[in-house]
Amino acid sequence: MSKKEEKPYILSRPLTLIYKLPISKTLPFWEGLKQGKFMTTKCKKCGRITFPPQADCPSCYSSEVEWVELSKEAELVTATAIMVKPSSFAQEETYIVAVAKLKEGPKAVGWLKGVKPDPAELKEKIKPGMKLKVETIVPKEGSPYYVFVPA
Amino acid sequence: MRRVAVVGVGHSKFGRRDDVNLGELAFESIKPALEDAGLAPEDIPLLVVGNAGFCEEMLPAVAIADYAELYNAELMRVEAACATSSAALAAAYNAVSSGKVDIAMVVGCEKMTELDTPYIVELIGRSGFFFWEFQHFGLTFPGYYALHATAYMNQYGATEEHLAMVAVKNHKYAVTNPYAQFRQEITIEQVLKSPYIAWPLKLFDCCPITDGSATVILAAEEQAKKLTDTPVWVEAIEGCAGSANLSKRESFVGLKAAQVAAERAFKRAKITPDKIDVANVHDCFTIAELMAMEDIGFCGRGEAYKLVEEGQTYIGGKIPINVDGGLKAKGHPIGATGTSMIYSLTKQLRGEYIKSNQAPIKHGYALAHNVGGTGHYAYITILSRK
Repeated sequence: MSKKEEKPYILSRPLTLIYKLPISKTLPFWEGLKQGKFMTTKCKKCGRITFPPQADCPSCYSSEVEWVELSKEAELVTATAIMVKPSSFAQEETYIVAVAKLKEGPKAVGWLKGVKPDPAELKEKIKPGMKLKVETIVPKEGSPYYVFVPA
Repeated sequence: MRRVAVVGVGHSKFGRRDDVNLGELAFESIKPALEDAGLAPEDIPLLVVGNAGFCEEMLPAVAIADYAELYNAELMRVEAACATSSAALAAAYNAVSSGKVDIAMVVGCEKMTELDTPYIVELIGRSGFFFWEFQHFGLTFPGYYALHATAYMNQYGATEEHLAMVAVKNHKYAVTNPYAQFRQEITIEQVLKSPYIAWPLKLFDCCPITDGSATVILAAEEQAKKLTDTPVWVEAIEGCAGSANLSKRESFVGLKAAQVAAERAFKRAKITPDKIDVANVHDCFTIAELMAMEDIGFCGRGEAYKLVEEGQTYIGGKIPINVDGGLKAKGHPIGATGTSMIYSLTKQLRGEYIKSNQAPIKHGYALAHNVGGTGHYAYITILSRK
């Protein structure tokens, strides 16, 4: 697939967009991560545990939800390793993104650490049911987050 | 509801189109569609533009309508990620079917290459569930589908070779499609040797970044019969939403939204999947074509890769799929993909498609399967020549 010569163009005026993402209604989740806790919401009316947390129950539409601490125990559902990264992740080493089923029922998406993102190793190790645990991370810069690691 | 037919179609060359801007690119499909239908710009009372939004024009519908001076039309822009122009088609269909207008034009147009590739990867990645999946974990679109590929291969025993077979077929049919981005055959070995983009998907499992446009003109039955001897009827256009957040997904071996949309479409058209002569499915990644075959009901769960292995998705097989090259090799200009599928299938049902790519039309039905996101949106359109 030969590279064709670029056609004439004019560069647009540059624009950098940085959005402020509201977290008022999920604050206990973010505060919890800082204390090593993995928190989410549970509906007081129908009992549904949601992940990610949300202030309004998507099952019964009640807005009476309580915050509960999750056990951090999980099982792998599926995973991928991101070799070609978005521009804002360009500085990261190849990372594995997993979907895991939490012991309490809901699933969660997050990075899987502790497995080498090498195709041969991935093929051998990435199997549904692999036992995982959740670890909370508080980086020097940016917001806290969580990762999965093999249990 | 009135019967609605496709009476005109037009298609631009797909690829890296850095020789044209948005309006110029749209014009390349608007003009032939009007000529195909025998209509003038002032005959269009409704223009629905499908554009997902990757170029600098903040109001793409306005830029397109202005370039072609389609000033007589009520104008709107529709977005449904990669199913954008199928959603636009649904909006136009509803307006014609209800009797609000007799004719409507749908322009799918996307200009993606004005940004460099890393920014496009960034923007498309952000088009999933941004806050809980992209912000901290940097998922990309190949990554979203790779999660499904891992699950599918683990569950059914399909291999990376099976995925490669999909790419090989779609490249083969793109060779003779003058509008296609990649007009070269590839081999299974080339696919397997290509670098990983998002394990287990490799470069040749992925569709390219594409600029392109495709236009479809719809008319109500009475007008359609006056305009053309070969109306192609819209028997059904049905959609469904799916979970944006992958954590809310029950299964990763198929796309629920596409399954529901397909069930609704077959019910509306009153036919079964075995009556489809030719299909275009949303093969943004090779795994997506396998899941599509099962979600539509061309075969049972876990059977698609076996049909592919047998060559049943080539012309002459049980169900020819993506014989215009598909998203994989024809290219995937996000907002133009839905109408591009309708272009190919309309030509197929008229029996006037590229000779080497013409599928045998036995029952007179064709199906387009167009997914937005990883099943965040899904649309199934069934066309007929009856």
